[in-house]
Amino acid sequence: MSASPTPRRQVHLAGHFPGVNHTTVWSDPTAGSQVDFDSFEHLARTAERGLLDYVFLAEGLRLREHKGAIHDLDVVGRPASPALLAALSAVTERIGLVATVNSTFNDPADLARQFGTLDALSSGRAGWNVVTSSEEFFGANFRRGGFLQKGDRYDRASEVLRAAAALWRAAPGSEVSLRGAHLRLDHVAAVHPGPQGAPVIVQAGDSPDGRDFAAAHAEVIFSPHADQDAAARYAADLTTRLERVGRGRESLRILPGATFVLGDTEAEARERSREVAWAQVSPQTAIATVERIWGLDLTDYDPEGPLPSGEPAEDELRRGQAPDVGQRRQIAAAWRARAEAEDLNLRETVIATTSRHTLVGTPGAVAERIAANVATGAVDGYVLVPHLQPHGLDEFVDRVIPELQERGVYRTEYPEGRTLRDILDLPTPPLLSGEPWATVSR
Amino acid sequence: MTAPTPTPTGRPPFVAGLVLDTGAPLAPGTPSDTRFDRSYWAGLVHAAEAGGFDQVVIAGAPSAANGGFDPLLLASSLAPLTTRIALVPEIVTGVREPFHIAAAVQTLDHLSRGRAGWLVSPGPAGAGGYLEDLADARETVEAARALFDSWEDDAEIRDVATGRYIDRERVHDVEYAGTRFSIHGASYVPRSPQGSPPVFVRISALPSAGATGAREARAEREFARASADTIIVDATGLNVAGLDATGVDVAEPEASAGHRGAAGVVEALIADLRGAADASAPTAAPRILVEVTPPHDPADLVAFAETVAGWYRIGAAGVLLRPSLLPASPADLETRLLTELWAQGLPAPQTGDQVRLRALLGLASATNRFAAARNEKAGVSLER
Repeated sequence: MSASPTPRRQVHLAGHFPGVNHTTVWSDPTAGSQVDFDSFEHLARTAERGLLDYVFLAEGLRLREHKGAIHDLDVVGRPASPALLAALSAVTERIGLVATVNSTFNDPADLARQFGTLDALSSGRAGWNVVTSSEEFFGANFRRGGFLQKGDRYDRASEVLRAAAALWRAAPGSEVSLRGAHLRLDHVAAVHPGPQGAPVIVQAGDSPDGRDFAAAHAEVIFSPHADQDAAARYAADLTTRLERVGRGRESLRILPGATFVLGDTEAEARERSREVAWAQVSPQTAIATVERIWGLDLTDYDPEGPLPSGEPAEDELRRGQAPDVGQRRQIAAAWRARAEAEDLNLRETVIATTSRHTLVGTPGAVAERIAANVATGAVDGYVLVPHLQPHGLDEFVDRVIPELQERGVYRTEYPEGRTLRDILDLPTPPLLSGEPWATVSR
Repeated sequence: MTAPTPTPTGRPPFVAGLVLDTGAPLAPGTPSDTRFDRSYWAGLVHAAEAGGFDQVVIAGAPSAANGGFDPLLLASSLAPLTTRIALVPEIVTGVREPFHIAAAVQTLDHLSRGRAGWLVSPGPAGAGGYLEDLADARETVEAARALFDSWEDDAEIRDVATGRYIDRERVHDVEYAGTRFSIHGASYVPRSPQGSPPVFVRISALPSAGATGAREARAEREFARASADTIIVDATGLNVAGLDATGVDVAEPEASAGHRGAAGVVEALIADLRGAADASAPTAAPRILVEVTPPHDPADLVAFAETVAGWYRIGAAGVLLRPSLLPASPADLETRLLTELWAQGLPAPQTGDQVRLRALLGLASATNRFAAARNEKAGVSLER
């Protein structure tokens, strides 16, 4: 396994903190606190030891509900991301720090001040995964909740970003005024961000509007398409959208989320993957997952028995994490076909469909696959999603990173430039080019 | 004035804090970007911790003319770099969502292992001016405290047999319904080490003149009494050091106008606040900290320390020192006054790591309303 003679595209990796879904195995004997700072510090330091681009935090603005009560089978609860990343900025030196923060349920000037502060505190290592929401489910926790039409989500988010950029670009203390279709803002620019001028903008939406928003503003996409065929189609679509706004493919990093399980041999890796999947999908989780898709109370079902025979109901039993009924019917049909073809019971079907790990193999084989996928240009790397807190990245960093380095596709030290944008090897972003969207006065 | 009065039994120790404002003017000659340098703040707070301050209030209004860091995020970044000093960021209400405020304060309490407080500053909440801002801040505190309680201490169970990570009977929707907003709840942050990080409210010792000033001062004090665990009496506008308050109006709006020494103005306010507190529940009564600008002239230090000792004797919990300019460097942080205060024989707080802020202030441990209600219900059914 020698390196290719021609330079291969470089791999970018990020580390996702284990979150509140059934990927995270809380029942493992080594599983630590999901709240204590020590857990996050260990994961961030491990990611930095592995020279990863950034660590990533998701957001959940309301505890998920199942059958009208808080969903209790997965991890529940987490710290607030901006505060946690501010603390991590003090115990790390180089790694990027990316927080998911909703643009709908926050004041634009307050967002600009918070991300400007985080960027300065980390000397230019901050990133903002911009998400939107029009759902009343989440809006119920906010005084200004539920005000936005679904179709306006990204229009408003775009104005929020442009407003934030105007505040980041103005001298602290100057008065920034702007008038948009959604925003009217007159505010003092509060913070001089770090040397990158503005946090790196990350986006994760997959709808056509979301993709256009990404093409206009994003520098990194947290993509849902890890399968290589889907990833290639996704990259082609985004390239078209980027070109429409005068940007090239290399101005955007596409990083799908990827789970991983390693082994000394391929067979051992597959066996470990099977064990992890069984731990991820407890009998109770299997039933609750099928309830979520079918919209039916299946309390009396046997996890070792068959899937329900009927079609999904209109009712949504899961709040905060449910596909719509049309999608659920498609999913149910696919699951039934799979169960029939492979003679799987209910729990086995849920495992086969929801706990298939993206990267399974020996460290060398996993490294080779990552390098090969990146070489095609369909992806630029992955957001690694470990299943254990806080030790979930240890093995990957110890065993896969050296294999990537040996193949000449991964850095052996952080670049000279110290900002997250330098680490991602990205050009000046759209938000920092051209005239800012504001009137600035002192 | 020199011999300190012995502390009454059970009286909490004298506490001494520093107030740093992220938007305050810098000492002359300091580069303007210093305020956006994380190592500058880390150095200052290290110096404060080493110099004997037991808490630092990090102020910073979002509209400061110089700009400045968000206080909560700055405090969060300082949490892993410090072990003993309590961190009290100023949070301006009205604009930031109460749900986010609660989650961020809980997170700071987790990050600092129980050293978090929050200074609640009523900010612009509508067209109704300061009275409306106060009403909004009061509801924000109420809602945040409910959210602080939304998780019971032992909600996380990790019960492999039943597949349950939490006992959802111990996580509660708060269903807060105020006159200004409502919140479904629960918080997404599990209960923090202190349960309910203490609320600080600042009131002015020197209200603006006129009827509006008097009305606003009354409302401000009412808000402080209703909402604060710790009331900060802002005496920075008074020349306490020189004990000269010529021309200063008496601080109590109800009282007859007149002139008295600046120290006396503060004394009267302390007595007024203490008189309103519930004497039967001393650990529930708000603590009073007097915020002052330390004297520039070293010759004034002793007299100043004696004045402060006098406030402690009549019931203040301690003092907050707010330098008028941000020091050029940590070496310039003034700590001589602390030495002078201890020389007055004031009882110093216990030193050592991991002192929680509530304990430092002598506040009772926070109880959880939902746990209390559930236990009470269980007790009743047992009796039956």
